[in-house]
Formats: sequence, structure tokens, C-alpha cells
Amino acid sequence: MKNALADLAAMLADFGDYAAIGTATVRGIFDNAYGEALMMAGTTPTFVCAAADVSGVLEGAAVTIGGAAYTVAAPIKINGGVATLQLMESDA
Amino acid sequence: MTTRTAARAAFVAALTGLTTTGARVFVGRNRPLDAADLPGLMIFSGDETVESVFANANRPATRRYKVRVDIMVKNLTAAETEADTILAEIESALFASVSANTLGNLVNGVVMTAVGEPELDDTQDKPCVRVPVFFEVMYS
Repeated sequence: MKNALADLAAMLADFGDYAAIGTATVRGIFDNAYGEALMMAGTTPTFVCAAADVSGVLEGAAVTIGGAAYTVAAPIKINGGVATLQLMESDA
Repeated sequence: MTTRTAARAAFVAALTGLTTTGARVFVGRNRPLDAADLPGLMIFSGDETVESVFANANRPATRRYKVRVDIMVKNLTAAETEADTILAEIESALFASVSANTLGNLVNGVVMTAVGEPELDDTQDKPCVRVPVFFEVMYS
């Protein structure tokens, strides 16, 4: 499991994005790939970072990435010290 | 043009230009809708039953042509409520008068047989709601 975190740290050094989550700035990898549901096209925004950086973050928290506002849409998935945040666009 | 084809075209025309969905009406489409296509309606043909008292030719038969309309909404807030509003607009377009209900005297009548269970998905950038509505277009 330490390897996953080590790999993440290496990736973040090269490809990391910055997200404002609450008062913190967290470095992670933002992905906004194409997705479909119920015959409607869209995107599936996710943010992957070190779990320790989002330990107090809950579903519904506001996230800003590249000036775009999102909300954490589901319970945060944590695996091997790596957190995956499923995001949804926000009105804010 | 067969009566079935004309009835389908008239049904689509009746549901085109509703306040919320406008011209975003898609017939028999198997590709997903994009953001510019929403909120919208997707219309699909179902099966058709034929009832005739007589088995020989040249006797009138009553046909029931089933049509499914999917209300498609993708919205950050109150998507299901918006779908309800669209449903009310559909009912108004089809049942406000005898002329509307017969698609301009083309068919015997249009009956709404069921509103299906709303399908919800919130794994994308915005929540999606799809509500299937079932109709029978009766013609001879």
C-alpha cells in the first residue's frame, strides 16, 4: 500500500492539479472524462489525491478546480491511502 | 404514407414546441443526448395490436399503436420536478381538446396508459432523470 502512495506522489509531481477544498489547497489529479447515463451524455469529474489531505472532507463539500465549482457527490473512496472524490457541478 | 406513419408524425408534431422542451424532440434515436438537447423528449414506437371482428379482407380493424415518450432532464436542482412539469405540458398538448386528442381528426384518439417509474442517475456532472410515459394511438 505504501507503493500506491509513492506512485501517487510521483504522478502529482508531474501531473498534479490544485483543488481548493474548504480552506485547504490539495494537490491531486483531476479527471473529467466523457460519460453517459440514461442516454444522456456528460462528464464524470473525479479528483484523486492522498487520503490524508482530505481526511476531514465529507460528501457535499465544496471543491474548486481551475476556477470551476464542484461538490463532493458521494462518500469518498479510500484505497491504500489514496482517495477518490466523485464530483458534481455546483451552482456556486 | 400509411396511417401509422402519419399518426406518428402527427404525434411528434403535437409534442414539438412545448414550453420546456421546445424543438428538442427525437424520434427513434439510439444515441445519447448532449447538453444542448436537454431537457428533451425521446419518442419510440412500441408494438401494435389489431382487433377485428371479421377475419376476411376489407373489414375495418381497430389498431392500438403503442408509443413511448421518455422525458429527459439533466439538472442540478429539482430535476424530477422539471420532469413533472414537462409531463403536464405533454398531457395538455394531447388532451386539451378533441382535435388535439385525435391528432387533428387523423386517429380515433390518444390514450395515456401509464407513467413509468422515474430513473435517476447522479454519477455524472449533473443529476439525470428519465421518466417513461406510455401512450396508445387508436386508429382504424
